[in-house]
Amino acid sequence: MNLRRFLRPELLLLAALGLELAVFSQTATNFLSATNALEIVRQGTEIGLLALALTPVILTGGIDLSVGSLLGLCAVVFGKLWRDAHFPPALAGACTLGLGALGGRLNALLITELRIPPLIVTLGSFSLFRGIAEGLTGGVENYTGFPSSFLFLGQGYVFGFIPAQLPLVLVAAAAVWLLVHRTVYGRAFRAIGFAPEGARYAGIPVASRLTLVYVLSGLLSAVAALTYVAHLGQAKADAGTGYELLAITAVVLGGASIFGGVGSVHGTILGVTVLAVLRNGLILSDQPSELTGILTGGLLLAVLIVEAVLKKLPSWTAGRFKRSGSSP
Amino acid sequence: MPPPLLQLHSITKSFEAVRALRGVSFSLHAGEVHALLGENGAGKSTLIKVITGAHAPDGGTLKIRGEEHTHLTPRMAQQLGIACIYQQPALFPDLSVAENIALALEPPAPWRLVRRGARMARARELMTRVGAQIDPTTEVGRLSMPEQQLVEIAKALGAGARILIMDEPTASLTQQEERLLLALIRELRTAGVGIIYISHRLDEIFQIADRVTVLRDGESVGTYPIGEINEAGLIHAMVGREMTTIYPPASAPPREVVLSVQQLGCASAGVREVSFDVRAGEVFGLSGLVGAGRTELARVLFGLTPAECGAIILNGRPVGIASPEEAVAHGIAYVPEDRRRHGVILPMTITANSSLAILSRLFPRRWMRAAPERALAADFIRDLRIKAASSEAPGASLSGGNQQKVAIARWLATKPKVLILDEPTQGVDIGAKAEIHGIIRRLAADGLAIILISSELPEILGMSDRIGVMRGGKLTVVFTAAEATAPSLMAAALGQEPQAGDAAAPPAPPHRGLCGPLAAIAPAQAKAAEQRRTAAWSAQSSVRRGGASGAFREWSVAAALAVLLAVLAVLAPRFFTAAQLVPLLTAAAPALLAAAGASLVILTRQIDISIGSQFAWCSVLAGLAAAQGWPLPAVCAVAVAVGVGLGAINGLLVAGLQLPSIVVTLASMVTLREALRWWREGEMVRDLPSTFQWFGLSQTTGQWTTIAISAACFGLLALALGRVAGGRFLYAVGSDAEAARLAGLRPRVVTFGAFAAAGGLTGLAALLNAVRFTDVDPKSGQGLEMQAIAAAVVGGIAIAGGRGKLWGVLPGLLILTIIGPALVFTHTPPQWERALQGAIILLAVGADGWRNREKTA
Repeated sequence: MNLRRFLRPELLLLAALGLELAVFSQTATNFLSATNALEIVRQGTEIGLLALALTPVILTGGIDLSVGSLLGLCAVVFGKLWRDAHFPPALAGACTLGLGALGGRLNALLITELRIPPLIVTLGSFSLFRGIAEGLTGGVENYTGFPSSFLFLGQGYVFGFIPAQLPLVLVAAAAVWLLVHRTVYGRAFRAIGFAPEGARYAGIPVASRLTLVYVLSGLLSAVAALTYVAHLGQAKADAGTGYELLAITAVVLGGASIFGGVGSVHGTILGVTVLAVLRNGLILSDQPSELTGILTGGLLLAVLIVEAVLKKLPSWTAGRFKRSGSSP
Repeated sequence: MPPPLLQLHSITKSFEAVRALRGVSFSLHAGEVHALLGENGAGKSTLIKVITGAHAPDGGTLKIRGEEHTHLTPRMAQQLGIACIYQQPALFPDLSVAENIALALEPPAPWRLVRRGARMARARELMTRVGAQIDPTTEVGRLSMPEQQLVEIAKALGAGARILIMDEPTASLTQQEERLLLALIRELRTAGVGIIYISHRLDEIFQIADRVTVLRDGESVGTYPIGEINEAGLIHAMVGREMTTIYPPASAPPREVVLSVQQLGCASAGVREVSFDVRAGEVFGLSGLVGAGRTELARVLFGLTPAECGAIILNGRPVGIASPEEAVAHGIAYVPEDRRRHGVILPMTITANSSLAILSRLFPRRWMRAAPERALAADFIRDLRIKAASSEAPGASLSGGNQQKVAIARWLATKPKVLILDEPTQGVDIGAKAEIHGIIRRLAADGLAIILISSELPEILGMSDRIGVMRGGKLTVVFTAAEATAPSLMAAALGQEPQAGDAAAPPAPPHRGLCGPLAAIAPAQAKAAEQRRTAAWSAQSSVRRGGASGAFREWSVAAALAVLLAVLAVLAPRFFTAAQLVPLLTAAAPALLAAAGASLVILTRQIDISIGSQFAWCSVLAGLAAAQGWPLPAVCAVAVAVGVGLGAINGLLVAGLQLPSIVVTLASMVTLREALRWWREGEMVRDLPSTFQWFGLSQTTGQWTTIAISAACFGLLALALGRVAGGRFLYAVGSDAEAARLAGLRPRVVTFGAFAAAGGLTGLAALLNAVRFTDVDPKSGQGLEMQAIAAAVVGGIAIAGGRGKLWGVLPGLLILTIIGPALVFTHTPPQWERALQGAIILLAVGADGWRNREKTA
């Protein structure tokens, strides 16, 4: 099936990206410029980090709905530690990262020890984390006035033109890519995603691998929280609301199967890029921002449907041949 | 003379390279019990599947009552009066006995009332006919295996089966139950039913059968009237084939003992007091019938179901093996029986599969490099002669024999001391089989201690240096290669007196309850095992599905709600005033319907996270219709119709294209929400006529009306889920989609229906919400999906489908709703509401997880 090989999700996405570039270069002002490209990176950082966090999770056949809420909780805790407990930003940041990892550990504990499906566990912690953020801030508190040394992380430029997030995102992407594609852990994630029982029969320590995946997801959510606060200069309990769904969308667009085993970090990065460029281009084209959502959802469905239809095609033809061949 | 009920002539059937049936002829007359006999893998199950229409034969003719059928389907076979009782019953574990029978017998029409009384009476009558004392209201998942088989027989009787196939029906029955069953079979025979009876219990066959046909290697050896053959003759017919395979000779004499197993037991896995030694360079064969405990023993040795008592001694040192990782670390390797599920990870490449068990050893720093892995795979592809396009070919693309070689390669890579091979040549073609035999010999010559589990007698006789026979979880006898013969092994496996036994087999200790003298090593463990053993049957049956009793979860949620209300009554009596409660309940009314919708979808094992977006669309469109001056009923219709339409789109994508529901509804959630924002630009629907708000009633009456509508719809739905056939279909599909298909339901249609109905409920919820305000907010419904799913989950609807009572969702939702006001009234900061809600969800599902863990531990 040459057609099938040609229409791989990555290629579909690249085509979508090319289409975006072609259309927006005509309709959007200042779209095709280095400055704008770097701006897209800045805008896409948080979703990108969460999507990176979710890629190993989805590879194991799991899901983490709590990343957006954990982002909110980490943002609020960071603000509180800095302003109310007078921690220096570096220490507050370190504590925040610890909190993120802890949040992930809680998910992992419920998933591996009590064998509750990840969907339900993270649905619960989705409410729990956001709820604690609301509780800590009374739902209204907004932490602002962070020192410029910290805000540099979200608003500053390295060498005067590279957004400070870019090196961070590159490091995170490289780290997750290496983990997934170049270490024994990544192989274990896929094995678990394809066949959890089969992985166990191969002597893979399934519980500890799953723990790694969810702790990493929590940790990256905390990193995203720091860049979020530094970018906007404020930390509120509603930070990152709905981000989990955008991040899942990016991962699935990037070719990951929600059933596990299949997916790649570069696919995820491509998925995030397509979404970020789409949003940026539509804004620069003076199109309503809602169009982003409509096109995102539409693209996701289109990719799924094309894949499903392609998967059925060969079996249809095979079935036909078999039937005509077997009759005496 | 009438034509036989069933006549098969020269049936052939191949699976890839394996010829399962090679021209089998078979006939069955009315009022006859025809026994089918043969080793495991002789072709019995394939033959049965041809008769039931599950497999289409490659050649030969099949006549039912003299009429030839070329394209038999399972459904047609059922209509022609063919019923089959498999060893693994095709039942819905979450549903009651009466319901299981009813789903099989009643027409698959959704819109009819379930007549519980009639169902119950019928179930009771059928259960009496099969001589079972089972309450028809019992959940099938809680029955023991023999009881479940009786339910299957009752189903077949109820369907008026003329041809009844029974696949080892007595394998797990007690003597008492067995006697009842045989009496029942005689009764059926008198009534003119033709029965195909498969059993390994020879004495039983002589009691009950009129004729017996022996299959061997996919061919019928012969059909004998029962009076013209004896047990020895049958055993000879089963095993007495020519040795077609040349087995490689044993080379080196066995050396020192590598593995010594002493009084090993694991009651929950069904392994009892097993003792044996395996030496370096020795092949120790394990023979016995399927289910005799051989695979279970291997699983204990490999740490998949850790031992409860006894000792495993490796190279003279006792070791504890609590997990496969530890087994691997100790040098024990296990090539499992189920190659496709456990042995090879099918989508992964040969390279990835062969390195999977030694990744950490191959790459001690955890960084993978392609070269060592490729080299490893290349070595095995060459040494084991794995035939594949390349080392990067996925396991799924290989033939059975080559898959098996990959599975073996994975374990050879670990350089084990003990290699356990479980049915290594099952479903493998002749050439690959001989190659695998050669590999086993070579490995033994290299000094490996090998345990070979095989149901094929010539294989085990040809390959083993010593052979142990298991029966009922025990190693009953050990033969040396010189003593063992096919009849002696078969006789031992069937529990006949061993003809050429040996005393090396440890005598079973008289105190069966305890785990033998070695139990002293771990008295606490032994005691626990003892307790588990006494409850073996009941535990095994209830564990399979978590085993929550009837409505334990629903009642505990209701109790939690009662406690919460009681606490409130003490701390804040003012909470219980109409001024507080009525607005609260009014606000909860729409959420209740949305939660009911979410529950319908979850019951079918799917999920819908677009409920909130659907809600917004229904609200806005209904609002617009009302603003246009449409009459109230028309506005209602708009709201519901829009919901059904949107739900149907999801349903179409999920059921029609088999897409994952979470992704589909995620996409439709985002698309719908943003499309509405784009269109309305955040603008409210204003200028609603006064007849719309509160249905044109006064506020108080309107509030009560809203509550009443919601409660009535919810109540009706809860009733319908129990009393209308279609409602039960949701449970059936969520419980076991395959069993639902066998029962004649259409799982895809049912799933589609659940999505559409959920949409309709969401539409109604939107309407009840809209009438509360003067304007319709296009942002309404945000986050509703999570609230609805949370209420369903807390209320006991299992995310795995098929379980949970809808009424439990009501206390579930109320707990989540009342938390907020409760905080206010107890002067706790109300912003902790969501955190508490999250904690409640985790607590509820965590408690379930804990209960299940306790039970399965």
